[in-house]
Amino acid sequence: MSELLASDPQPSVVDADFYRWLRDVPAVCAGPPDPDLRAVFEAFLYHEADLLDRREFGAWYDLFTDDGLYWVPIGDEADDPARAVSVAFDDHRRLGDRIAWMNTGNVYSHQPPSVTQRMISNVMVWAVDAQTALSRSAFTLHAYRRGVTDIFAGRYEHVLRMDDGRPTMIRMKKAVLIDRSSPLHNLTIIL
Amino acid sequence: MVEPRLDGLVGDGRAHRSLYTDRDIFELELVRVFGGTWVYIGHDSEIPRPDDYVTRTLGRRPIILTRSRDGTVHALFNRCTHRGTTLCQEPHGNSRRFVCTYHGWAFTNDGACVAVPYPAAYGPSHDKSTRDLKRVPRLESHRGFWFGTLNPDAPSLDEFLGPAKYWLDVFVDRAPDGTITLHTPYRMTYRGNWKLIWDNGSDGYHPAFSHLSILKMSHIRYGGGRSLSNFGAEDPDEGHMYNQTLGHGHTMLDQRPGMGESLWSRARPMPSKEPQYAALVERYGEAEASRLVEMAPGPGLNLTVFPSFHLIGNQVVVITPLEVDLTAVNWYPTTLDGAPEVVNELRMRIAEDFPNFGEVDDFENFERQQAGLSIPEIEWIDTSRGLEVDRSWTDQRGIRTTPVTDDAPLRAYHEEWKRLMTVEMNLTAG
Ligand code: FES
Ligand SMILES: [Fe+2]
Repeated sequence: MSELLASDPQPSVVDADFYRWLRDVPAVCAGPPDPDLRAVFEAFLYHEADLLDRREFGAWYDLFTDDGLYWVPIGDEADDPARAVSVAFDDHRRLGDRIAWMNTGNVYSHQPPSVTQRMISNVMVWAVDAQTALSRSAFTLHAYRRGVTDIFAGRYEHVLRMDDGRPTMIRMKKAVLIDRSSPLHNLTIIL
Repeated sequence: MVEPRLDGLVGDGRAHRSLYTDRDIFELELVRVFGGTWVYIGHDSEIPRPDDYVTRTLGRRPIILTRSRDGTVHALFNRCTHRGTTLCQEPHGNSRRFVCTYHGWAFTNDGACVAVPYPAAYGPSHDKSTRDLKRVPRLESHRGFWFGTLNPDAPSLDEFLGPAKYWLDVFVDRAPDGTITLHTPYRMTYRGNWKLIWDNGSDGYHPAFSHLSILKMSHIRYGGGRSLSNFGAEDPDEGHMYNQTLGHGHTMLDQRPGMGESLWSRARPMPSKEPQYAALVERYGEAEASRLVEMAPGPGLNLTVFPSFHLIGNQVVVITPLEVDLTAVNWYPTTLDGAPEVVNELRMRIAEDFPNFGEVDDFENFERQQAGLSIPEIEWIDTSRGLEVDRSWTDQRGIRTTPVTDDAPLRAYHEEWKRLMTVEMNLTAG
């Protein structure tokens, strides 16, 4: 696991410009998606999902850039995160908190841990520039624990950093649940 | 419905498991507790304009909280007076009228029946005004918080809240304009009885154990001791924080004596902390910025207003019983009207901390409790802490103060629960 977790969490980079950037991201998806990028994105998304299903949280955390964001909004699509709470609005530092927290061994809702299986499909990709591309995809996540299977379903939005035409790191991962306006059980599962 | 046996279930430092597991008791609670006393329904800021509404429940009763054109607030039963169909399906919106989709009866948002299609067949004595929507007959507010009851014999809201009003004021008065705004809540469920979160509401005994994960994480990430769990003392019984029982089952846990001077510097680092603080300094200067950020965290108190309303941190928390073993908990983030936008944004990021890393461990413990309480042959839970070793004192107003680790708040709400479940009651839909 990343040694960054144990000490010296870095200051947040979330400022007014960052919020503005988040508001502008969806506009990128206005045109038709780029079919050429789909295969490399699918490979990245499957790898990411696999890390989470195998509970390799440290390796998953290491996929995020220093200005990366893991975001699970609630409420209306139009809600501005500066004026609304999210299930998770984790900048790099708080995501580090989350992983360190999961690894304490004292998160009782993960004792015993949930066995999860993520499925991803309907992947659409848009190139922003040579270093950045964005995808939307559909996901379902089954989480089995202590005799009960919880189902989470929705849409992922990923903003990924590109190197040599391939996605390498996560600048933003947003998971939009279809039932985010009703009460949810055990939200400690990373989507 | 079978009348459940209620005498002797609480008292003498114990409570019977059936409080948490018995379906007949639960059904009776939905009628008598969530109907027979003042229950929080909604906040002014959720229906700010004329014709705004939100749909809610009072126990299981569907209601619509509306603001009619003249600004008056109404709590109408969401039930057509013709055959009972619910009139409004949306969680919130703006509408002057509610039209029934079944036979087209129409009602204005003050409850008046204004249209009955093809009325001739009802005969000449038909009078629409006898078909007005039924309403929660008593609806009152304090500082924008609306409460309703179906009990004509309940005291006034003012008397019901009693000393709790002062703490509501402390929470709201932090806003420069003297009002707050509630926003879309963080909604969670746990598979356990609604009273399990009540037992926990003023329980200063559990943090060192139930919240070990967040304490360890803080220690690993940000250093410092884990003694926060003990409120700054080796033994939590000796800490400086205290509980007060405020009457009618309400309690207040004052964390401020254990928190030091600055609430802001005690808050765990949140997303946007440094850039947004720098933005405040640039705009207002160092001294004013450090004053303003003190508005971002909660005021350092936990207020509970029985049976469904808590103030925790900078949030309004509403507890809704769904089934005997299923409870929804809504955490409404709040912004302070008149505060700088940056401060209100920081309030969102602070509000995301505790439900994520703290409350979930309590919820898991509630689910484990619910499982343990299923054993019919083991009937009692222990609520005796502080009963024999009484370290409480009572002031001239009758407010009782105890160490935070004492079960006094739990025993106080159990007494109020027992009173509501057994007292003579004539509930009415006005
Ligand atoms: S039930 Fe509403 S009009 Fe008939
Ligand atoms: Fe707790």
